[in-house]
Amino acid sequence: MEHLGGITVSDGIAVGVAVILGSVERDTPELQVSRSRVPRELDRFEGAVRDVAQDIEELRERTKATLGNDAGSIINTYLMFLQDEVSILRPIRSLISEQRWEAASAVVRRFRDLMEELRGLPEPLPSRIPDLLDIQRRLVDKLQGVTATTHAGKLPRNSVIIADDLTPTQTAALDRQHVIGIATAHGGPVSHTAILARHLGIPALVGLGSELGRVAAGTPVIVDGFHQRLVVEPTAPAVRNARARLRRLKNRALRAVGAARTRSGTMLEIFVNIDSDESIKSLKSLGIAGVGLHRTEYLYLGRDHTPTEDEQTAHYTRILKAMAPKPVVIRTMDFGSDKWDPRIHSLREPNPALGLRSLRLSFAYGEIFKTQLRALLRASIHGNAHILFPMVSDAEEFARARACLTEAASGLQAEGVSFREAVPTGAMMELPVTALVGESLFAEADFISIGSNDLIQYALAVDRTNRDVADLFVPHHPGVLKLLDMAARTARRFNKPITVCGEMAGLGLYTPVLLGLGLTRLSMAPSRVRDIVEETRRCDDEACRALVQRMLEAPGPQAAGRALRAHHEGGRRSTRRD
Amino acid sequence: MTTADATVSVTLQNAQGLHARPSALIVKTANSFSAKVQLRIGARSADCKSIMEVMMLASPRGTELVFEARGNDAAAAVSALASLVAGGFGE
Repeated sequence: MEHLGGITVSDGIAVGVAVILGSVERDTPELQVSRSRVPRELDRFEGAVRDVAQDIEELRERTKATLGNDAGSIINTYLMFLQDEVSILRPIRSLISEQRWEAASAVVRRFRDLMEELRGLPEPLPSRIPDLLDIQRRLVDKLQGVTATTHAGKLPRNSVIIADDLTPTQTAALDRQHVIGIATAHGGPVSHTAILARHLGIPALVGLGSELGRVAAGTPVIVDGFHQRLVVEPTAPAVRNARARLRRLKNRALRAVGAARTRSGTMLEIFVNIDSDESIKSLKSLGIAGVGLHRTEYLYLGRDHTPTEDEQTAHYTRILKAMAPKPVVIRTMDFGSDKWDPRIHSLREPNPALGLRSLRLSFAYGEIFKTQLRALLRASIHGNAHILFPMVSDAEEFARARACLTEAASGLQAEGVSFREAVPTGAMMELPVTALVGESLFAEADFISIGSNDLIQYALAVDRTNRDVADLFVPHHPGVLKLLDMAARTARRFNKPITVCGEMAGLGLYTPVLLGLGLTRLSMAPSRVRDIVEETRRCDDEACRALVQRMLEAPGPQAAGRALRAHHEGGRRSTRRD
Repeated sequence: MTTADATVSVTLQNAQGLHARPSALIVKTANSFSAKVQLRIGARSADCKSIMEVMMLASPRGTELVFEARGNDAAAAVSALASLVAGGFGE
C-alpha cells in the first residue's frame, strides 16, 4: 500500500481500478531491437501512423461540425505532417531499419531533431513546435498502447482515471457509469476540469506529481478526497473502511437542506450551477431557489456534431419544465481559453485567455450563436428562462448581444414560431473593466452574474491552472473585493439582482465575505449547497460587514487572508464533513 | 533533379509571405499530382510534398519561387502551383 498526496478538487471517495488516460509523463524511450524484430517495428510504426491519421480525421470532422470549415482546415495541416515522406516518415523508417531503434524511440528521436531545427529558426517557425509535439505524443501513445480517448464501452466499471492532466473535453466525455474517480499529476484547484469534476460529482485529486506516472493500469486504487490522497494497492481493511465511509456519504447527500438564514435573519438565495440535464429532477427537492447558471458548453463538447436547433430546444425545455416556475439562468456558449480543444486555439492564439473567446467567439461564429438563441427563445415558453451573455465588457457589447437575440426573435416571429416576448437578459461580469463601467451596463441589463473565477484571473493576471503562479490566485485580494463591492453597490442602486456564480460562491471560507459585501444571491455546484447553507447559519451580518471592511483596507492578500482566517477561527472551530 | 520536365517561376504576392497556410496549400496541391515537384528559392529548395521542408523555406512577400517538376503530369503540376501563388493563396 502506498499513499500519494495531492489536492482534493472534488470531494468524495472512490474505490476502483486505475485506467491510464492520455499520456502520463513517461521517460523518453531509448530502446534498440534485434535485427529480426525490425520488420515488426516497421509494421507497428505504419500502423500507428494510420491510426493517428484516422484519429485526427475524426477530430477534424468534429471540429468542422462545431466550429466551421476554417477551424477544420487548421487540422488538415496536422495530417500533412503525417504524410510527410521526406522529413518525417522516411527518416523514421530508416532509424528503425538501419539503426534498429524500437518504433517509439525512433519517433521520439526524429521529432526531437525536427523540433531542435525549428527552435533555431526565426518566428513563426518555432511556434509550430507544439504541433509536432502533439503528433509525436499521439504516435508514441499509439505505439505504447495508451488510450488517447475513452470510449464508454472500453472502460471497466469502477474506473479511476489517471492522467497527466485532463482537458475539459476529456472530462466531459467521461462516462459516469464507469468513471468513479479522477487523479491527475498536474492541474489546479480551480481549473475548469476541477470544476467539471465537481459538477459531475466525481471525486478528483490533482497535483499528485510525476510519481503518478508509476501507477500501472489495472492497479487497485482509492481516491480519498477527505485525506487528499490517492491510495495505491490498498490493503483489504483500507478498502472496507473506504467503502463504509462512502455509504455514509451517500446517505447524507440525499437529505434536503433547510433555508439559508444568517443568525441575524438575513435570507440567502441559493441557486445551483448545472452543466447538463442529468440530475435536474433531484435538484428541485434540494430546496433551492433555481438554476443560477446553466453552462451550455458541454452540450457541444464530447459529441460528434453541433447540436441542432431542435436538439437544443428539447434540452432547454427539459430543464425549464423540470424547474418551473423557478428561474433557470442559461448562459450562452462560452468557448475559448481552456474550455475548447486547445489544438484549435493554440494554433492561432498565443494567448487564448486574451483572445477570441466567449462572447467574442459567439459573434465571430454568428450562425452557431444564432442557432442557440433561437433554441433558447423557442424553449422559453416552457418555464422561467433567463438568458445570460458571458464575458460582457460594457453596455455597448451587451447591446450587440441583445441585438443578436432580437434578430433571432424576429426570425422566429416571421416563421410563426412561438416564443416568450420578454425573456430577461443579463450580463456576466468577468472583466474588471465591467465593474468599473457598471452603471451604464446595469441600467440596460435585467440582471448581473459575477463570474468570480475569470474576474480574479483578469484582475490579478494569474492563470489559475499554472502551478507556478496558482498560489497568487487569491479571491480575497483587497483589489478583487473592491471590484465586487463596486458591483454590489451599483446593483443595489439600480435595484437589479446580482448573483455570484464562480467558485467563490461555493467555498464556505468566503460565505461571510460575500454576505458582508451584501451579495446574497449565490450559485454553486449542487454538492456545495449543504456546506454553504450550514456556513450561512453561523454568520452574523454585522460581523461579516466588519470583516469585509478590514479586508478592503488590508495592504494586500496576506493581511486580508489573516483577517479572514481570524474571523473563522473566532467564530467557531472548523468542522470537517468526514 | 537535374533536368525538369516543367519549370515555372512566380513572385510571392500575399502580404504575410510563405507562412503556415500557404505552405499547407502548396503541399495539398502538389500531392494531387504524381509528378515530383521541387520548390527552389535561390540556393535553397524543398520537396513540395513535404510540409516540413516547404514550411522551413519561410519566405517573405516578393520572393521569387521556382517550381520544377518531373513526371507525367509535370506541366499541370507547376501550372497549378504557379496559379496558386499568383492568386495570393486566395487570401
